[in-house]
Parts: sequence; structure tokens; C-alpha cells
Amino acid sequence: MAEAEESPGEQETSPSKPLFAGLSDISISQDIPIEGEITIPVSARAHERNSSTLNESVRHTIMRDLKAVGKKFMHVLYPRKSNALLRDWDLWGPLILCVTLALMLQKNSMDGEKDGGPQFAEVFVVVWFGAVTITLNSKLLGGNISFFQSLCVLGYCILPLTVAMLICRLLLLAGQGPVNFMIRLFVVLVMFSWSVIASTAFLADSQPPNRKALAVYPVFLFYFVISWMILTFTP
Amino acid sequence: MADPHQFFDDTSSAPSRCYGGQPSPGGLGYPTHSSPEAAFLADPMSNMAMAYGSSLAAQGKELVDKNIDRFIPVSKLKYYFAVDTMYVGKKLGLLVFPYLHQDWEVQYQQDTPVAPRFDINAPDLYIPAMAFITYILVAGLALGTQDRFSPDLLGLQASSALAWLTLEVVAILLSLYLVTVNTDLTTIDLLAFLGYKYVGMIGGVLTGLLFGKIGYYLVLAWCSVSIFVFMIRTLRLKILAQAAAEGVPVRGARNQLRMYLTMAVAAAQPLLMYWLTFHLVR
Repeated sequence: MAEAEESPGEQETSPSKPLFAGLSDISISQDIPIEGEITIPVSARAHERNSSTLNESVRHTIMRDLKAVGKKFMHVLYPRKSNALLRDWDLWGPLILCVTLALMLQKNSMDGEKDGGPQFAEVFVVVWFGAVTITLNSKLLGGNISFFQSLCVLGYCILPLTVAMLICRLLLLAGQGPVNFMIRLFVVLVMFSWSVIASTAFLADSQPPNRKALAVYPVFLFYFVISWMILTFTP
Repeated sequence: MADPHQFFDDTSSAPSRCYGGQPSPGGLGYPTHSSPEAAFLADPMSNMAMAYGSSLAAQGKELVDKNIDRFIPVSKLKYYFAVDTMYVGKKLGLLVFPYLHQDWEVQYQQDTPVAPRFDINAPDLYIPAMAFITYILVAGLALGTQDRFSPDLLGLQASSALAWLTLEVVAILLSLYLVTVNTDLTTIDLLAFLGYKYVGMIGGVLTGLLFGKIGYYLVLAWCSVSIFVFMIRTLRLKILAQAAAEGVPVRGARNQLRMYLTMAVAAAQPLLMYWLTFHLVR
């Protein structure tokens, strides 16, 4: 409630209000002109900001969202103990990453159906249902992280694996062979451990210490599946 | 709640006057002297829209929670996930080596069973759920290393395993009903016990991938015997409750029937373990 600095002589209309309980006992025999300052709480300014974002240009809105997404990418690449990913969660980043990954992983439908590679929809479903399952598991284990925050963290931590996918695709342009496979295996392993460490840094904090390993195990499985899909990709 | 807003309302602009009594959130009702806020407040539609939106969101959340609670009892499920790392480790050890464990009774605390975290004999759903998911992934891995993989095969594995599980649960519940056993074995408990065999299956398939068919058969045989013993010892306390509690040997037609039922359930586990994994190991 805002502080109203008014003269203490103002008589309250309804004496039952707890806010001005003591004022009803005061009475003054003369009229006193009331003047003062009324300060506005911070939330009113927030509403003002919200209304003004309706009027800004589309490019400005998109740039603002892209900057937020980029900032979170930086947080994933250099995992520190910060709350930015959890506090202002958004699902744009995971969507961009998931679509990029699925686009790169889908097989060419021109060379027949039984190729063994995943379709776009399969990768999409695996990523999102995997993330939902991990979140449910984390919540049932008693973690204090919300549903969308957990989805946000898991989605953003796919970034290292998307980078691995890009590198693998570039490496595959140089032809396939055992040496090539070894390099790809190494790259995918490094990025996989980076993903697991990054998401553990955010998710494990929400669980009590005797349950951290239990919450991390499905995350490990999830990124293992994605890494497996990346590693076995052949163009 | 309306009165303080009435008191602080900006009565200088006429349109906002009639909406002074609105149960608006936070600081919307406070008068100011600078123009942008007054212009915002003078727009009563956004005021009302925000209040309506937040109440709608609260209602929607309530509705979703109520409906989810009707189908999946979330609070009961939370009991089965009240585990910790030590419990999981000890339980996994018990599943592969149940021979030395002496006391299989679940501890109670004023009529409710103790959470799995505090008693190793209590059933939990974390291990079965994780074991199921790991089994699907290991099946995919096995098929992949034999060049037989395709994503729809994974879905096929998952749904066939789920179908067998459902069939088992329904068959056991039916037979418990027919044998007129009054036991405190709930459906979720049964689901938990039947899900423990996936641990053995995963072990078998992984060993089969590493060491070929011999390794697979050895590990599967060991895990089959362990899960048989585990199920007998656990179900004995649930189904044959009275006889087991007194410690007398099982006699009489009714008790014999229950004994046969327990043995049938326990014997079905190794059979299913073999059935669901033999095609993965070549």
C-alpha cells in the first residue's frame, strides 16, 4: 500500500478499517487544508512499462527477445552459479535449438523410408517429451523448481549438442572413415558432458543433497539419447 | 478491499471514478500527478482486462489441478517418489541379491506406511519408472548396434512392454479378487513390484551386448532367480498376511490357493523377462 503523507488530523470515515484504526479517536475543531505527497509503488511503474511495450515497433520487440535469448546462451556456455536462466525463463531459445537440431538431423526422404534416421517430428517429440518427463520426475522427487523453468533449463542446455551437430556435419563433408568417426565421437562426448554439467548446475540446486543423483540420472539419459542420434547421423 | 482504493482514487479524472471499486491488483488504484500513469489509469479497459485475466488464470489452474487429481492421485504418487540415493542403491542391491536380507516387513507409523526413504522394504515408483525408460533406450541401443534400428521400432518396444505390464496388473488384480484375498496391496504397489524386473532385464541386455549370448543367459538366469525370491518374500507378506505374521507353515485350502497365486506371480516374472529381451540379443 502506498504511503500517504497526510496531516494526522484527517478524520477517518469508517472506524472499522484496521489501516486507520487509531485515527478515529482524533478530532480537531478547525479545518486544516490537506496537502502532501503520494508516492507510487514500483508495481504501478511496471504496469506503465507493459502498456508502453504495446506501442513499440516489432523490430524492437524481436531484438529485445533475441537479446534475452542470447544472454541465456552465454549463461549456458559458461555455467556459473547464476539465477538468470531460472528467473526470467522463456521457451524461445529451446524452440530455436530444437528446430535447428531436428532440421539438421532429419534424413533425406528421397532415398527411401527405411533409412534408420529420425524424421523431424521424431526428434521434436523425443526432445519435448523427454524434457517433460524429466520435469515431472524432478517435481515428484520434491524439487522446488517450476515446470516451465525446468523446461527452459533443459532446452537451453541442448546448445552444446547443437554445436556438436554443426561440427559433425562439417566433418562429414570431408568423407567418412574410422579417423573421422573418432573425432566425431570425441566432439560429441565433450559436448555431451558439457550439456550434462550445465544442466546439473541449474537443476541439482533445486533438490536436497541426498537426491541430486536421482534427479540428474534422467537428464543424463536424455542427453545421451540426443548425442546418440547426433553420433549415428549419416547424410 | 474496495474502500482503501476508493480513498486513494484519483477523483480528478471522471472516467476512472466509476471503476474505483474494482478489485484491481497491486498499485493500480493509486492516484498520481504525472500524465502517463493517469492516462493508463484513465483507460479502464486495461484495468478490467488485467483483473479478468488474472482471475481467469487462477480459475484455469484450479480446474486443471482438480481434474488431474481425479485421474492421478498426485499426493499418493509423491509417497512413492519420496526416495533418496541411498535407498535406490540399497534397493538395487537387494533386487540382485535378496538372499541375505532378513526382515521383509514394511514399517508402519501410526497406520500409514513409512516413506521409502526410511524403509528399504517399502515399494517405490522411481526405480520402476527409470528402469522402464532405460530399458527402452537400451533396447534402442541394442537394435542400433545390430543395424536393425528404426525409430518406430522403439515405439513398438515401449508399447509392447507397457501392454504386457498392464496385462500382468489386470491378471493379478483379477486373481486376487477371485481368490478373495483381503490385502492392503494397492494397484500402485503392484505396479511398483512388477516394475522391478526391468532392472534385471537391463542388466541382461547390457551384458549381452558386451559379452554375447553367454553373458546374456548367465545374467538373465541370475536376475531371474533373484527376482523370483524377491517377489515371493515380498508378496508372501502382503497376500498371505495372517499366516506369515504368525509364522506358522501354510496349511488349509485357502492358504494353499494363496500360496499358489504368489508362486504364479513370482514365476511369471522370469518368463516375461526372457520374452521381452531375447529378440534384442543376437
